[in-house]
Amino acid sequence: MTAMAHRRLAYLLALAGALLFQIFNENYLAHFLLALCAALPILSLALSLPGMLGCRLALSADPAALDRGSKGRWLVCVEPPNALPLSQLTIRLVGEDLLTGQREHRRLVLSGVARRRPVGLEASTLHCGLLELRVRRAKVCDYLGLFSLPVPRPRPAHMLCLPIPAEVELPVLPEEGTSLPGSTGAARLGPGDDYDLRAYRPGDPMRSVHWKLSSKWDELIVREQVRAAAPMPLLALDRFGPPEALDRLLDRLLGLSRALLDRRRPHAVLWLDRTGMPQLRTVSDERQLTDCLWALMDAPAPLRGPSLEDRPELLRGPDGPVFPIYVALEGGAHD
Amino acid sequence: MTDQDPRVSPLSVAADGLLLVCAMAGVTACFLSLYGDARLGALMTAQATPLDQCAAWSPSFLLLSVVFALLSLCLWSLPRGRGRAACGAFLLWAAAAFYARERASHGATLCLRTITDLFSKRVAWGRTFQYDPGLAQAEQGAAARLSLILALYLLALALGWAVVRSRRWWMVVLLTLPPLLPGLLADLYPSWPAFMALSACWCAMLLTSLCRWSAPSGRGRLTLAALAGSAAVLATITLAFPMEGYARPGWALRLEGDLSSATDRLSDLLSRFDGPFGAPVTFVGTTGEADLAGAGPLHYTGRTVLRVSTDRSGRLYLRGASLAVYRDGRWTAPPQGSYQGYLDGAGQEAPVSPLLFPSLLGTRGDVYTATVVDLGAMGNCGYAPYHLVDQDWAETGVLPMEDAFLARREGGQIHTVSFTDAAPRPDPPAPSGEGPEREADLYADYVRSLYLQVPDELVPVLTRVLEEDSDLLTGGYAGADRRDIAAEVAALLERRCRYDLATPAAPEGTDPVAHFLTESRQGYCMHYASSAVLMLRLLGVPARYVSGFTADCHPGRWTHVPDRAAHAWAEIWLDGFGWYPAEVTPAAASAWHEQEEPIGPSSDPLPESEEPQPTPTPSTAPAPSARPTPDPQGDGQDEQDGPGEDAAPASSGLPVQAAAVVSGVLLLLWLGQRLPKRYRDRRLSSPDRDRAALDAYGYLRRMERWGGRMDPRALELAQKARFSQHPLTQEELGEMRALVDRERERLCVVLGPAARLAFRYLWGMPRPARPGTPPKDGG
Repeated sequence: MTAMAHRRLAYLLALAGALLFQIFNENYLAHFLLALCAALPILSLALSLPGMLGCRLALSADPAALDRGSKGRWLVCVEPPNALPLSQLTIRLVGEDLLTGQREHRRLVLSGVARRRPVGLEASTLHCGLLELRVRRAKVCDYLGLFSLPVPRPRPAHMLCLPIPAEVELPVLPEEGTSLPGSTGAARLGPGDDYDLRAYRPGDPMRSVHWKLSSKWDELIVREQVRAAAPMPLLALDRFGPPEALDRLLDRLLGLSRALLDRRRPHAVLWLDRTGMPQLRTVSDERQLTDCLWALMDAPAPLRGPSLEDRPELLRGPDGPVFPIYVALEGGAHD
Repeated sequence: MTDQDPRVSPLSVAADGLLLVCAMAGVTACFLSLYGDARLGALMTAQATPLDQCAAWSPSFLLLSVVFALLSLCLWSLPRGRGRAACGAFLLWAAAAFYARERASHGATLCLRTITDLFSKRVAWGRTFQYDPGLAQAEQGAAARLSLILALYLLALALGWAVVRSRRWWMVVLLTLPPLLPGLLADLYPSWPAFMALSACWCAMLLTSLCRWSAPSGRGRLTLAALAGSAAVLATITLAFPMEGYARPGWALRLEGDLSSATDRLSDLLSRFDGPFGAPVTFVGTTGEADLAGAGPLHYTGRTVLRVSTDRSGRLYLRGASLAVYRDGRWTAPPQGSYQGYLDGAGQEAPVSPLLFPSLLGTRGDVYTATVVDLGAMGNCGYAPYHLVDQDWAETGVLPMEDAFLARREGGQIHTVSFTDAAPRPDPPAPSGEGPEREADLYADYVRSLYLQVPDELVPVLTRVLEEDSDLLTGGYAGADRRDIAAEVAALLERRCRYDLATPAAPEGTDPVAHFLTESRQGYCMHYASSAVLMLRLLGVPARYVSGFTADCHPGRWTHVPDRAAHAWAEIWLDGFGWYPAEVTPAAASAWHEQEEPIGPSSDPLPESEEPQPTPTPSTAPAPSARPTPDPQGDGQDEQDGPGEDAAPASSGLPVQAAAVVSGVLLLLWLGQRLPKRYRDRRLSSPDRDRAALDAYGYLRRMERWGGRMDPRALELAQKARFSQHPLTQEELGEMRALVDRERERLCVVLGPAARLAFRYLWGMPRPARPGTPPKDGG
């Protein structure tokens, strides 16, 4: 039985006692007590109604993103409308990990909130995912605790619980071509090499001058090797499984992605959503990585789902050739 | 309590101070006005009581209480070191009490005696004690003042803690109400402004109880607002329903009757079974004697003892038995065989019962019938209205016994009798040689031989009273109508004595009638009727003592007659008419006494008289007895019930049995929750950690029936506790307990309302969160 039910029962008992006292006692005191019992709830309502009607709530996360297992807090902020404290505020909250679908219900009882005061609640960061806290129901009661009014629900708050990057050995990536003509001076161009011809610019190594054509065209012509287009690494993962498996998978993904970024290798991340539609995100810096993780974790992941291994045709980059790296739970990433 | 206190602000201190002053000044003024009323004290002793003397110092006491309240406020509002300061203040009190221990002890005992005396005078179950410290009156007053000052100091300390630190409203009520409770229970009124101040403090504490741990400035604002609002509400109530001219509302009277009827029906039902409710609790009614010496304060349960249905509207006097002989403070029946001796002497073989003389000899009006169901009145007599007509007694269920009463048929609880309106004829018929006139004439000799006896030791007392307060002995009442004489005696008693249901028994060794007339001068119907009968006899008027019940009846409806409608009155013999009832108890002011017309045996002995209506005294037990009533048999009377009407709902009296049943059920429910919870908590805190962990695992298993989940860690710990050679560590046991608590709290959230209610009850779950405690979140 809730506290409010207890109080209502106690009040009813008191009222019944006063009524019986009035019925069986002929003195004025009995009459006075009965009138007082009837008037007290009205007085309580008169005192508390302005606060009950103007009470507002706000939710926020502190911090907005954190590593899995770190301590994070939800902040529930109550804004009383006037100088009198609120009597008792009961808030039923639902915390949900949008990735794993795990939910927890919380009940928060605040008494005597007299000013804007954030109340911290520990966030559950056991698993990766986009955590959401929303108010299912909130009510504020009068000073006697007999009547209650609902409080408008605030916007939900979100907290990104990030994976912890795992130590993963990168597979051998295809070598990238030289990007600057001068930097490849040491390399001689062989008969089978592709190259372009252009006019000489000061600073070009003399070794790159195409003497035969220069003599023929009567101006200095240099050869510039065409850079070989390096395939973009494509991190492919199957986004399903129990929360613990997803945690490990995301840890490996983050480890791989960070390793690639460390090598200044833009890459793409590919997964299938729960409907089987491919989702592709390009990652070339930390911000894009965060966006990618947000997108990866803001929807429920089923226990079983479509695997990219069954759909090799999807392992293509956004443009140009890709180097697929399949992020698996066990062992290292493989291509 | 911590020494550092960030929860105090100037505003909260001011608000707390106002509350404290209201509480202290209110309780002090209420106490002094309740028990220091010299008028009330004079009812107990000839001289002023110690509390009367304290009341003369009321302004000083009020000032002192305010000073103590402010001191206590300062002490409990200290930012640090409150504990040491409180200890110091208490030690100061203890030193003062020790220094003046003898005087303070005398004073406290005297105050206590005054309160208990007052309480016992006004409440039936109160007890008194004797105490004589051997001090002069002035010294007694000084001792009482000293003890009151010490008590106020201690109360201020405790109240300060309750208001400033604990902030629990019930603690404030618990500290301030008990000193006033005896007076309030005894229907005394405290000083109303003081009571308003105290009530305002209670209401403000109640209204702020949910916010008691709020920020200090906000709490202070709320306290001030609540105090002002409470004062406004209390003032509004006082103005809207003023105390002066207060009359009990009609709906309360009706509801009292309805509730009493319902309780009676329940009692009737229960009384058919053996067990704790088998014996109805009633000790009123008419028995073979009336012990006036043992008659103390009266107390009734409000239970119905008779049900009456009649076609005559108005008040009925339901006559029980008459008693003839007064000896040693006790009324008894005539000596055995005396009536038979009269019959034999008069040669009467089939005489007419003297109870029928009025209907045979007086003026006779319409004939009515009355059906009486006996639900537990004492004795074996059948209660019936006056002026019975001669009828077939075999069909009535009762039979006239000698000249005293109607005897019930064995085992019968119902009887129906016919009666009439009869009045003495203006010209009584002369005794003739035959018929009822002759029988009445013969019976009058017997009456004069038996119903004029007065104990010798009472003659001087009665004579002195009659001489002091009337001219009955010396005036011209020698040949007057006996009804005039009875009315004059009733007026004498009304002038001389005070009606009080709480009259204690007469001291041992004194005659109750003499004590009533000369010492206490207070009593109820038994005292009035006994004194009147003896005085009438002394004046030469044959009279006898009668007990029975009064009932306000309406045709076509059953009237429920409660035990408090028991009554006693006098009967005087009128030649040429028979026994005539005379009401001699003065009226008690109660709304229900108002009735449309007096019925049956007129309580006004003079039909043409302009005297006020005689007393339908509300409630008196004419014959309290130490033995319970025989178990009544319902005999299916319930189906005859119409809308019940309470005959005499005058004084208070809760349906004790129903209250006991409800209290018992509530107690069982409370114990049913508390005891298993305590048992579980003890098992989980067992020093044998393995055992406690296994118990916790068992609880988790049981919670699975409610939809609970078994945590793998709990299973692991239970397996370790069961099979491992190493006992669980304290941390592991704590983890196990935490798992149980967590699962319980989770179930309390996820279960449906009904299942949650049952789960909370069966598992003794506390409230989800207590106001004032830090936010608690359960998942």
